[in-house]
Amino acid sequence: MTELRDFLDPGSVAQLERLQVVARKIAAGFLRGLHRSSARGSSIEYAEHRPYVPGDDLKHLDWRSYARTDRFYLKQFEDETNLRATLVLDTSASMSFSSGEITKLRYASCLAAAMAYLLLGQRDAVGLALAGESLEQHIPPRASAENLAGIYGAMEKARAEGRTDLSKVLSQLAERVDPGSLTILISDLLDDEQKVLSGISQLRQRGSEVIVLQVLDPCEKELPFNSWMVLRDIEDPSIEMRLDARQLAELYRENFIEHQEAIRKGCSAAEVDYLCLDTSAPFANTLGRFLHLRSRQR
Amino acid sequence: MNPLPDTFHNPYLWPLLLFALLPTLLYLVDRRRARRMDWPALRFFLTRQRARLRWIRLREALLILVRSLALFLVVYALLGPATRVERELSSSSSLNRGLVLVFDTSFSMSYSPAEEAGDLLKRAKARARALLDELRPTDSALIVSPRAVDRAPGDNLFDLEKTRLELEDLELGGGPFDLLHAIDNAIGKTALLSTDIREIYIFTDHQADSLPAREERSLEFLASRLAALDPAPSITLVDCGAPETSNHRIVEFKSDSLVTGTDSAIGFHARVAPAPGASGLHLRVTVNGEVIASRPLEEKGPAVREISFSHRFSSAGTARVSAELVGEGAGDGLPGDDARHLVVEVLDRLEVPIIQNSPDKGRAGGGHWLDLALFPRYGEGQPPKVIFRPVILGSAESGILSRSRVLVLSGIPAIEPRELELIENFVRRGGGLLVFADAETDRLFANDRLWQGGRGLLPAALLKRQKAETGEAYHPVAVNLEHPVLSVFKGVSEADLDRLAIRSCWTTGPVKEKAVILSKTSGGSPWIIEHSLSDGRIIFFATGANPADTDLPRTPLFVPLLHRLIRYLALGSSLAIGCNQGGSLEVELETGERNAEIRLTLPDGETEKIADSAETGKRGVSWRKTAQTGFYSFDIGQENNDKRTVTLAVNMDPAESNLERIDADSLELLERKLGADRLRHSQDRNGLRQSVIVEFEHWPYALLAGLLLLLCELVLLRGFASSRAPQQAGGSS
Repeated sequence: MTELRDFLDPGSVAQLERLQVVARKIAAGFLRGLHRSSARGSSIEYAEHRPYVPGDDLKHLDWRSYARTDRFYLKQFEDETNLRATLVLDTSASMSFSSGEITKLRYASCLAAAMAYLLLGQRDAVGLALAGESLEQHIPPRASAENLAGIYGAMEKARAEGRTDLSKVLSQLAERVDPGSLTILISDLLDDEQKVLSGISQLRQRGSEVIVLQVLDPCEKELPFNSWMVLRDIEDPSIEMRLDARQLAELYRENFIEHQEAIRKGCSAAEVDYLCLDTSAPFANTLGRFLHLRSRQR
Repeated sequence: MNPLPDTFHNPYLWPLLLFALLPTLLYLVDRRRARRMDWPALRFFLTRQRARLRWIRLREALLILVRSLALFLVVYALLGPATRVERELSSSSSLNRGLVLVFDTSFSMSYSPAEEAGDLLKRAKARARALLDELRPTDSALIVSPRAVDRAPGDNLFDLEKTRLELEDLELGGGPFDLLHAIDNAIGKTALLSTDIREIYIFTDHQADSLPAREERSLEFLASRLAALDPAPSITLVDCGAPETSNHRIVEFKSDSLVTGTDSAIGFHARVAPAPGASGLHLRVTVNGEVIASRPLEEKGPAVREISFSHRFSSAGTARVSAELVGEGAGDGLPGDDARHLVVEVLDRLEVPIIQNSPDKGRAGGGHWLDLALFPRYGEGQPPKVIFRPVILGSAESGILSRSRVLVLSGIPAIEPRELELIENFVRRGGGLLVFADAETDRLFANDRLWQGGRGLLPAALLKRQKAETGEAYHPVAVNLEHPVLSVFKGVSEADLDRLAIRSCWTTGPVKEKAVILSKTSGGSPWIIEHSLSDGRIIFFATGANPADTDLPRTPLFVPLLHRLIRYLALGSSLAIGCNQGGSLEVELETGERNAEIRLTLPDGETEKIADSAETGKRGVSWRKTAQTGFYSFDIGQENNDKRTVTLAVNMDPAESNLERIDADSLELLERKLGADRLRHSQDRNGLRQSVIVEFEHWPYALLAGLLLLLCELVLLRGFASSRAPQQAGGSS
């Protein structure tokens, strides 16, 4: 297990091309843990019978068949999903930043893919929303392998470009999500915190649970430079600034912490789970923390 | 007090002030080396922090300014800025004073202003006396003048009492006064003073010649010497001169030659500058006390008038010639320059030894033609009126050389080394030598003994004889007509010079560095060359003085040319040259006169016996007490035993008699270079203002301010740091 987790550091994952493979590898370590807690669907549409194997829940034994045949069969239904989850992936230009081997978008995509894989494995319906300046693509949640393949394909094609406007995107999404659904926002949240919180608030008002995963490059949290820099905004190249990084590092860090604190408090106030992720951190940790959040929800 | 400094002790550190620009330069260089980078959080950062960024920029500028100012002040302190403040000195002052009193004792200080009795030196002494009277017994003073007596070794150089006595004994003399030299000398003396205050007082008449114009480098040197002293001395120029002077003077009086013969007249030339408004003045010329000419000076005319006349002496001997201004109102403030004196040596016979290879060669030898030209024989009944007495010899003799002033070598005979030495010594002592190189000249001997690689008597080495083609001849070209001898050719047409045939001559190598080619042959080689050896003159002809080499002896030009040559070589200089007032008279003694009695008759008629005195050298007599102008006669030897009289003239230095004052520009330059606060002028007739320049050092304040600013910067940095100290956020959840 340890060896697998070591393998799944962000740098190694970045070298894998297909998200499907990535998702499987990332989620593989967590499948056994999820086994006992797989979600039970409430559908009554009969699908098929299968022989009982030790360990199956006796609740699903078809006693009538037993009476007739003296053998144990389990009755299976078409759909056991009880959660509709939408992964919201920020694809603004700022997500293309990388100070190491993996961009924030790639990291977020990998993470989202693994989550989708896990959720579907639990028979939850999973959808995807790509968030740029507006809601650019939306795949409604479904608990099918085809849908999952569509989600992977959309994420593979996603390019980090355009400006962030999470408020607008979340507002658009709020009109589409069902009450009681789960929305997982994966973004660097480098936008006005009030706008971000406003968008989250709309989702909450719609009755959706929200989990906010903030993905940041380690460099973004502070200005790790010892010289003068000419910084150009990734999302708006017309904004440029010549600054002495040594002089402004402190202010920048303060500013960043304030921003994060504001987001954290806003999320807390809206009963939204908030998690800040670092692109240098291994996926295993990140996914572990996510599942911890999920278990809290249940 | 002036808040700006007057001086900097370390001005060479000025370039260090550029260090003040260092923070700004580093800031700019650092800025230029900025790395470019795309940054995701910039827009959102700027949106949140625009106001604070402006403050940070302002803060940076403030810090750079403070840092630069601090560095500037530290370097400024290193420059040693100081302001000089003048403080009145009183007898109650606790500061010890050291004075160096420099006196201009040149003869311009003998000017007597009409409004007061006594001359300018007396005026200067009175002011210095008043100055010394102000001093306390613990103070020090020293007189510096050319006439001051050196203190004995071990004596206190600055002893006040001895200085007072020296002041009373101070007399005129010592030659022209050089103000810059005097300041330099005084600075050297003040360096020896160990007093709290060093003061230099220069008592001078501000005569223009004492400060040559635009001596900027000398002034800079003096300024650096002054600056090197701590405490730096103050310099007071005490103006003892008369703003308005009345002086008429004979600027110059000279004769064509200081030696002449009875056979021709000699010209005298005087330049006279009467005082403005003077009238009834005459220039009177006397020879041995007898008036020979008197010329009135017109009231109106140029400031300096030139008067010339000629005189032919009738008898041989030493003639005392004086030119003096006489008439009503002739007396003025400076009588020393109202008369000028000359001693002219008059000859009625000048022996001209001519040495040629074989004296009895007759007309074929050059000596014959020279003899004829120098002493033309018109017949027994008509003896020539010339002073030349040629004598043809086969070799040089010491006896005849000692009596002669000129020697002619007709051809270059093979002279014995002893004779050659005699001739060389004769020339070096001022004798004239005329050399004709004829066909019989031995080239190897001439080059070996007389050229001596440029150290001998010849101006150039002989190369070979150059003969014109049969029926052809060379002619003189490029004749220097401005030369006093060759000016005889003035008026002679080129056609006449073309008829002057040169059939054969010697070609020469390169002439000596200071030799002058007076004429060349049309063949291109030098014909006549002049050069000098010590005090003597030598004129060299590349031809012989015989018709075989050139037609010159047969032409009418030969006689006047030769006479001019001999006069030029023999009578150009006189051994009886005097000196300027205050200078030293030198008389050379002959071998037999070493122990002879010497009696000197001064211009005022008094006599002094100076034989066996300390002033008698081994080879001559030196007399330095020449404050009087006029004639000084040295009678050498016993009354009836080959007594010899040498008369020398002493005149006032023409520069001393020019009472023009230093112009304001020169004084301003002097003041600017030495420092206006350091150099003062005093024209106070009643006394001198006693004050001292005290230096107020700026550097401690500048250094303190610089360090305070550095502290201020640290405080600002701390302040900024604390003002932005974050309220430590909880960080990521």
